[in-house]
Amino acid sequence: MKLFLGIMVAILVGLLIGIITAFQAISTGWGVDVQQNNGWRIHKNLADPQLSVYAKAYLVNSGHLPLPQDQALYFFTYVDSAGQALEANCQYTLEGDDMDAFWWSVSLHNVDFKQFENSSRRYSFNMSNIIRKSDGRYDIAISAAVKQGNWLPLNQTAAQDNARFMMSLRLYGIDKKMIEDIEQLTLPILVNRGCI
Amino acid sequence: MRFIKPLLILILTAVVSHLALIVFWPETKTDSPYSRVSELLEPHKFFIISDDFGADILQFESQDLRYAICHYDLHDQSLMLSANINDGFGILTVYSEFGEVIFSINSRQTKMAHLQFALLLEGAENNLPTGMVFHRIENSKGMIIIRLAVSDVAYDEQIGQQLASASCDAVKMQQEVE
Repeated sequence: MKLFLGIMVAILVGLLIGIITAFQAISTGWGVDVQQNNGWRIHKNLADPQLSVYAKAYLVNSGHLPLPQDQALYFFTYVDSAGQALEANCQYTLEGDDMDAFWWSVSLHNVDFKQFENSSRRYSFNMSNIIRKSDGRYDIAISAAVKQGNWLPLNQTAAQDNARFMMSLRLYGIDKKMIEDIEQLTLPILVNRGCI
Repeated sequence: MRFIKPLLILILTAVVSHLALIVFWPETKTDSPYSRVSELLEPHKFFIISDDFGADILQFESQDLRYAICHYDLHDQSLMLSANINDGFGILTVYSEFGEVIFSINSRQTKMAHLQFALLLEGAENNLPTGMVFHRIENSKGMIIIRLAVSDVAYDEQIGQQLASASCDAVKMQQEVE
């Protein structure tokens, strides 16, 4: 009787452990490789046909339809170039140059990857609408306070609430050699210009 | 020693239940992008994705891109695709119903002003027009997404028209005549 009870308890506990760890794996993406480059992160090829069962479960759970890396590289960051979390009560400058891509854009998001709402409804700049400096490089101001030129607005409420945000950099129609050198690519830097 | 058997059973149960969930989870998910899209939209027709509809299925939706989606079922038919992705930058991607990328092509890779090809189920008879480029696929159901870059808001309407002109037509297989 004791042995039977012991086995039943073992089965129940085993089931519980199996289910909890499986859902943890699915929701946090255990099987998804992340590469980093100066604070920017990238999910390593979620559209790979040889995706692990873990990464596939994560992808299905996310409900997203990704692009393969030979079509697009999606970098995202929650931190500035000093490694500090991006906060809406601070001002930042994104400093960058053209990338070896057919098309690129940089966007502002809340931490759930959704558009960071602002009254100007400006969430991004791309290679066609960005204003470049005489040397071809660009700066984008990211702040709640109004700025001239390339400016991505953080809304005042978010600044008062000290809300966190994130940025993405997307490169489309890239040279395949870039995929092999993700960690060595020269990506834009995000400089903190002071906080309230 | 008396704990060894329950401990082994615990470990075995945990491993089996964990792996079973990981492996079979994708097939049991009822709110996948394909389920949502196929419930709301008619098949074999491109629909423009907007903030109000469908944006949540895109990984990192971008304000600088416009999107259109078509879902297909090749049960007894083939699919003829036609899209202009070459005015500016565009990508056409074919997904299985599980969200796996079957193939993807962008305007840098195709030199054709107008992309035209067909999807044909593996093993199905080819009754497409002569000379039609086709791609055989294993899954009968799936989705196609066109992503077009919008260089400036001024081109928004033009890009919208470009997406609206894309087609995703089913071609019925010829029935055998007895």
